[in-house]
Amino acid sequence: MSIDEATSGSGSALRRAREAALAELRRQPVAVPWRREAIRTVLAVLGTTALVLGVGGWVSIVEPGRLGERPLQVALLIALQSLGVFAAIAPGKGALRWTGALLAVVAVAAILFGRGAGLPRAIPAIACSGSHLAVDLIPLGLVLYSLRRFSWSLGRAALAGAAVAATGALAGELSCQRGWVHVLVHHVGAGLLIVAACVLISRTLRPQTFAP
Amino acid sequence: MEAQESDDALMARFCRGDEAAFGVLYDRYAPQLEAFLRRLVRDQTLAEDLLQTTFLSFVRARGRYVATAGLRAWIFSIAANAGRDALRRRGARREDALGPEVGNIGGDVAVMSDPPMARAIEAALRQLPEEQREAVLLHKMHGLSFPEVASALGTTVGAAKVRAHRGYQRLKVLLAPLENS
Repeated sequence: MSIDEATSGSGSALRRAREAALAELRRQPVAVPWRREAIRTVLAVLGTTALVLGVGGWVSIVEPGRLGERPLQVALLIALQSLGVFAAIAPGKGALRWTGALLAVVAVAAILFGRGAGLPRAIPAIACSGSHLAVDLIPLGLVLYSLRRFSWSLGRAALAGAAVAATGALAGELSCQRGWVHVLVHHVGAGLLIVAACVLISRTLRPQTFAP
Repeated sequence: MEAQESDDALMARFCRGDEAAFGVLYDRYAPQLEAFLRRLVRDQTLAEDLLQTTFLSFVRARGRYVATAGLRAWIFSIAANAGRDALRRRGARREDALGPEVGNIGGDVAVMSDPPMARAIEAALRQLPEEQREAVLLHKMHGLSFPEVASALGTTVGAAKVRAHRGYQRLKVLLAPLENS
């Protein structure tokens, strides 16, 4: 007989676990499909981005009129937000996460190559990093909430962080005219900080479930 | 004799809130999961808590189940994740468990035909690194196929095989004195 077949655990522990699970099932009898949850989060992140850009435009920090000047970068960043958040939440789907990671690299390259030498501006360069980080805060909160719903993984957390950082990158594309070195240091650098924050914070949060 | 209802059919009913379907799945997997968790965390009380955590996760996250690797791999994956998280939070290291907690899983060895050998196997298992122990437990003791082990551990089939192979090699070395005697 295999020792695997031995189930020496106390009956009371098995009963307790069953009762707790049944009580949970009665609280929420119908399962919420993961796609619905993922789409909801994607829409919330995209909605927040639209709000940030709208408010930025209203206070004349962001120039929405530049949307047409950098269509490739804007399209890549919106795709990164959508696919990144969706892939980070999707169960399994390793290929989808790799696609999201590739998209992040392509988006960063497109932003850097799209800048050239750039134009000087009066405001300090560090203000760009600060505003990049600030506009990412609400999307970061949204994805951290979603990441808590399943077991932590480095790939998911990093991809979710990259998708969040795309919010600040979008705002940067529509408000900053500086050159690629500035973008690399102050925008990509801020984006990497967001990725690191997403990974570290999600790692410390206790997940609601341990599902993969 | 009536055929057993498949895991996926039960899962579909369970996702619609069918308690009877949950009951069948629970009876099918809870004892195996409890044994797995006990060996993984080497602590009876913690294993019992983790069993409850595993099934709470199972209920809450059932909308995330996709029938690719099968339910058995999925539910073992939940248990392994919960166990790993508990060990990480407790700051447990493999060495912590050597010695004092040997008696915690004594119930298992009592049912084997060769109790000293069973005890030696359990003690050797405790000395394996966590990754190797998980792979060996899932494959050898719980009968999961390598694709299932890979899915449960969130890795590739090749990596799961390597972990298990290294675990078996280490067990062989650890158990050699017993075999010779």
